[in-house]
Amino acid sequence: MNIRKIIGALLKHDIFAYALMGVVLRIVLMPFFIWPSDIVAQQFSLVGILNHYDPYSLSVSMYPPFIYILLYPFLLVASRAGFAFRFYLFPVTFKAGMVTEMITSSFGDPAFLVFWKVPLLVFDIFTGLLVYGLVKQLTTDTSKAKKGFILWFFNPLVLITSYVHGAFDVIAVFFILLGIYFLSNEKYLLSGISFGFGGITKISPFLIAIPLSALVFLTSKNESTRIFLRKRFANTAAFLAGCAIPILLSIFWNINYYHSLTASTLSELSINGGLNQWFFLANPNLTSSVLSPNLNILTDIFYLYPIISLIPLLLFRKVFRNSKINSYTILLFSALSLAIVYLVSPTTVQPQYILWLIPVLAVISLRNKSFYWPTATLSLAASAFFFSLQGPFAFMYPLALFTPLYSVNKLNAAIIGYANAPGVFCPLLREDLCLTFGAVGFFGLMLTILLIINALRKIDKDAEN
Amino acid sequence: MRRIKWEHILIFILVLTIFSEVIWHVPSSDSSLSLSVSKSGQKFIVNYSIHANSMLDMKILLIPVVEESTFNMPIYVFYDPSYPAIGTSWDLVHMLWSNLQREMFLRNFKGVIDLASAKEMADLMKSREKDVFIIASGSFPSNVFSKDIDLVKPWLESGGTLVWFGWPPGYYTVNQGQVENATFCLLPQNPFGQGVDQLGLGDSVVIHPFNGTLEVAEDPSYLSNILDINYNLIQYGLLASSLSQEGLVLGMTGGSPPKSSVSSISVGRGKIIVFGFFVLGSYVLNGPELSGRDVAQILDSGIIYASKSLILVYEEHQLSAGESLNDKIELNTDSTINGTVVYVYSTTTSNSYLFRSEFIPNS
Repeated sequence: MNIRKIIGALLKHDIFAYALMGVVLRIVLMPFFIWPSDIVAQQFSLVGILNHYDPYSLSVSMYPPFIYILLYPFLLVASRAGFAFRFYLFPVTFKAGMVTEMITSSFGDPAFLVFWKVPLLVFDIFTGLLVYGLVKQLTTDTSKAKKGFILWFFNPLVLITSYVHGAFDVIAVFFILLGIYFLSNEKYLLSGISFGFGGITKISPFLIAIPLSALVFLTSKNESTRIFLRKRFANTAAFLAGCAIPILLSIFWNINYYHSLTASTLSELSINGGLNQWFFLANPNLTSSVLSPNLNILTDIFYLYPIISLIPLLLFRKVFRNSKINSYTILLFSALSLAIVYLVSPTTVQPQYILWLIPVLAVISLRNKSFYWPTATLSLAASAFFFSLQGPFAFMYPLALFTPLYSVNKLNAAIIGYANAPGVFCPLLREDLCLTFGAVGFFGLMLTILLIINALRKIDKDAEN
Repeated sequence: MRRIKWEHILIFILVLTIFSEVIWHVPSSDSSLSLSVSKSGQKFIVNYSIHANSMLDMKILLIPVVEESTFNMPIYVFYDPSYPAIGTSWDLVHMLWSNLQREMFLRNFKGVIDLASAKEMADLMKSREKDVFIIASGSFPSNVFSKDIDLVKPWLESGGTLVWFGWPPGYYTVNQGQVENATFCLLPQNPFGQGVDQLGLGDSVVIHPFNGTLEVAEDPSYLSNILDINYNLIQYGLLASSLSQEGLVLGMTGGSPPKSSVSSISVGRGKIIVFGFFVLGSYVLNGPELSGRDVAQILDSGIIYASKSLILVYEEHQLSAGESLNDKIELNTDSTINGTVVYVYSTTTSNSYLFRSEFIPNS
């Protein structure tokens, strides 16, 4: 391969300038911002794996193992090459931490933050390219594909989740979208592997794989060469086997992960906030209780998820058995399955999880403009929710601690001022804002479901005609 | 787009996963330490060599002790949700336990670290074993300590170690099935100051109502610096002045009069280690992660048995990956001590784990 040719083609590509701008923006954000809580778990985990302890036997992480498996070789090479990431204790941050209880005093230096976020950048770019490819496949229009890429790459939620908050949901997002891409191209084993990797990054892709495996069984792409039952079983088995491969590859870590989840009371249920908790089953008083008293309702519904997730397949069975099933229908169904996961799963309480739905909606939007609305609503609601919990200043501790650009005392004062500001319909302003943006997010989810149902109905009607 | 083969990317990730799994499971040498101990007259000398596999920040301490410390003593964390946790939650108590398990595991602790119900705690205290009990729920259960029952003091006097978080020890007592409410703190079942006196802490704690504002100590003490102890709440911390004879200031100091965020005080042959207030939420300073580490540092170092007449010595080192070091450290001893604890630990900034705790008898 001629490197010059490849570089030349890259430079001429219609998304190159946007990609470059987006990457520069991301690199600027990387070293200075972090959600001042969860990253401590990653510190403990990474030091643990570097010393040959998995994060579960040390009870330091509630995340599935893929992120650690992915980072380990790079961590090892970097460590042997003399790179040391350091977390320092800054008791001065405790003043604000006492008020919100979501601010650690242990912060990783900018080198660590860059190390942590570079893999997120890689998966972020891949996701953008997949969005580009899927739109192009769906619309055969390069300018629409470019719009799809921009819709993903410059989405505020994408930037905030990975480079300001530091959550690694973009990895799960990539695998979900890749799984959908392979599914649209009838590569069931590869699709299953993608969802499997998604599931060992964050558990929910396994939940989405349940209705998708039923979809694989139900669809018959080409009626003229009617797929026999055996073929359907084979496709479904390939998809499920694909899902199992990443689990088996990391089986020892997964077993320990399972044990740690069942042994520890520290589950995601114990986290304050989240779109579901803040509106759908709101506990409007953040200060009174760690757990929403309504969470057991979510838990009960969660067990019904496998049945609930199959309802759309029953309602629109004609659509999915139709010979004209295509990428668009699969994308619609995947988006619907994701939306159902958000509504019924108690594990999807965090605003960053909304990211999973964004690229799917972005692709659909380029085919059906009405989907711009839920894409924008969910992106803005989740972004605003991030800033509502502790105020926008809470992400700026690395900037204040490691650079002279801002002072920690000013940050503390700003956060405490925000956290104590009285509310209008709740005791505190932050509760008002969380509830409001939780409501907007909930509205976005409802709108998504409504639009998908309408789109599926239209396909159903068109097929009948 | 047509040029991107997504199959190849997926295969690359598969291969990377397998590669990562294999190299992670292949045994490799961790950071290591070898010690050789010798005596020359009253001088206790430790020659040591360290090799760092990844960046290592560590300290080595020689602590002269008057008795053979708490090594591998069973540790129990009181956890019984059938009783109310006054001012905190059982979730936090449970998290303290799981974090303490990790910290003690890393320190090669061989004993048990279990949760214990109120009934189990009563049975264990009655047996007068040299156990460590950690109570972080803010009050004693009434079957263990109340106006009429006191299993705690006799157990302490026979050599037990109590690690306490929350309201002043002995001030409140809770009944099984009771629900915390606004008037709980006024109920006549509580021993109040009499309970604190009963445990021998009456002169050490300033009892005052909690107004919702946390009191924070800002000055590190000599031992908090050396042992890297970070807990800094002093709401009901022991008065530093009360610790000069039979106690130790292990944490930070602050307030007026000065109070210690973590203190150790002798009761008979036993010890009470008092943290100035509760364990707070996860990941914050004073949360279960760092509090668990502080407890592990105290128990594993044997610092609570340190001689008051001799001064411990320590060295700190910072090694980068692949670096080795040979050094020695010396301690002047005398016949008043029972032995010396060699305590090695990696600090919170380290990328490498290195822990060692050895009791070397004086004879």
